[in-house]
Amino acid sequence: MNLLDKLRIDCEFVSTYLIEFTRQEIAKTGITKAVFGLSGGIDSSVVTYIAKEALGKENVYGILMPYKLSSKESIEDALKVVKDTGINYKVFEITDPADAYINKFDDMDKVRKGNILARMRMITLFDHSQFYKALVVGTSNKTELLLGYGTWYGDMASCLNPIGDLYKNQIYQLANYFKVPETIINKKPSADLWVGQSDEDELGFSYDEADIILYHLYDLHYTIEEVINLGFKKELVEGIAQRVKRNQFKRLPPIIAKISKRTINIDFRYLRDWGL
Amino acid sequence: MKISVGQIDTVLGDIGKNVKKLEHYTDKAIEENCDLIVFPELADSGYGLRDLVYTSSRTPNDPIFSNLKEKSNYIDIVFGFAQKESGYFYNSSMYLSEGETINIHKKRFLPDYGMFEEQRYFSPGETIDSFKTKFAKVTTLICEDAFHISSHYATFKNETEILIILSASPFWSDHNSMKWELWENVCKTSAQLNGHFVIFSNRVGFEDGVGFFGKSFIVNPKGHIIKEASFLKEELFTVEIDLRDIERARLFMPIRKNEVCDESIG
Repeated sequence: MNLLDKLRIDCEFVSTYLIEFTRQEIAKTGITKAVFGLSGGIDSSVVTYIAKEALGKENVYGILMPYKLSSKESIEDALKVVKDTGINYKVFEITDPADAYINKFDDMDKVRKGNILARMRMITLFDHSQFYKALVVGTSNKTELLLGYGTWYGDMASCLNPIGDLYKNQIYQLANYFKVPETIINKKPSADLWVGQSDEDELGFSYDEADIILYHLYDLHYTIEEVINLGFKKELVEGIAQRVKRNQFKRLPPIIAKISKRTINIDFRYLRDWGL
Repeated sequence: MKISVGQIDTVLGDIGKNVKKLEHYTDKAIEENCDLIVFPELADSGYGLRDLVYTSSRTPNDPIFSNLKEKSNYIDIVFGFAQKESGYFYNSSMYLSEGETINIHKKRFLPDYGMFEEQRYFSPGETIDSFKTKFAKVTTLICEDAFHISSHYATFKNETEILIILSASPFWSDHNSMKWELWENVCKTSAQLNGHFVIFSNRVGFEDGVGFFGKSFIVNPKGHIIKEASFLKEELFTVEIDLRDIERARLFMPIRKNEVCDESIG
């Protein structure tokens, strides 16, 4: 059996489930609309199709937030999704506000700049959340959440996330199911934070490798040794496990110093859907 | 006998709203001349109670259930509720008939693995008992109870005729299985080996991203699903069953006849 086959999902049931999740979890808050960043990449494209089915195209807002170094293809691809789904969209250039901050420093490395761009987009989305009375829908997949390949309180920030339990490979399965435009399915994944950036080059491994390793380590409870025996290099498996561990903080709210007998999230424990 | 299943969603921790919904669907089932309506686990409170268990639990005599009791003069009603008793809490079911509570079952097996935290908040029940209703001999199980083979052995021993399973079962899947296949396998096998009906009543709705999948169903004593509700949708479904099918199944496969049961199990 091809190891990737273990990640196969029933797109019909999973898409129905994610559409209902998005519809119901938004509706119970009393809000009827959704807003999210539309990058022209595979993840936000899939979220667009889910949100459109869940809420109706007139209740969905995709915000394109290019920076001066963003590729033109990203905009073109995002607009293809807008055209195909008929959702509302807006182009909001983040170059001026981001550069107003970046230019306060003589020299800034690209990781800092990347984080600033991600957080500038977060500010834009949450501002439009208030502006449109719409909830911010997250577009981070399980692979990047586990690897911590995202900016804390940047692209990882949202009110709800329909695709956070789907590996990158499973996002592609859904993209094919929804018939996302082919140029988006066929291009190399990129955070597009600087010219020529490629996720897989930056990470040092392919998404398929990461998906198989993560799925076996965490979903199937394989040991590192057992995953290496599937045919992966020791350094690769250990490196991925290390990333997951090191980035646990990004997946949780900040820790709180316990003093009282009832401390928030320690022994003051309620679901967010309390009363909803 | 005409049976309804109220496959409902709930508002987490809002007992007033949820009980109103139970009353609403009970009225509809009465209009359809049903004999019994079955609701899911924790139907008055929602599932992921955590610390809400302290304020969302009720005694069986709480006045909030008065209307339902009154309606049970026209239809038997079974629903899951968060029960309070002497400072402890139970994940329970209540069976109402002719204005009275004729059975309370306290969930015996409380899951505390994976996403589940029931045993942190609830105390376990001690027994799995059958009871006589005006229609048949009934046993009620709540969700995880049905994954313990001893529960099915109990229904085998006591010659249950209708096994009612109330559930709040979350959706999951992987490349070769869907959650409901587990339920279908368990319920069909129990029905076939015990020669009884199984009513599986599962809730719908989402709580913090956890989706309860619905797909409630009824299995006849030969192990066939005779009616199944939708995936994820709140709905009331109704089906006519022939209680004589129990006898017919037991004539065909009189399994219980040849076994002396072990009283120490189940």
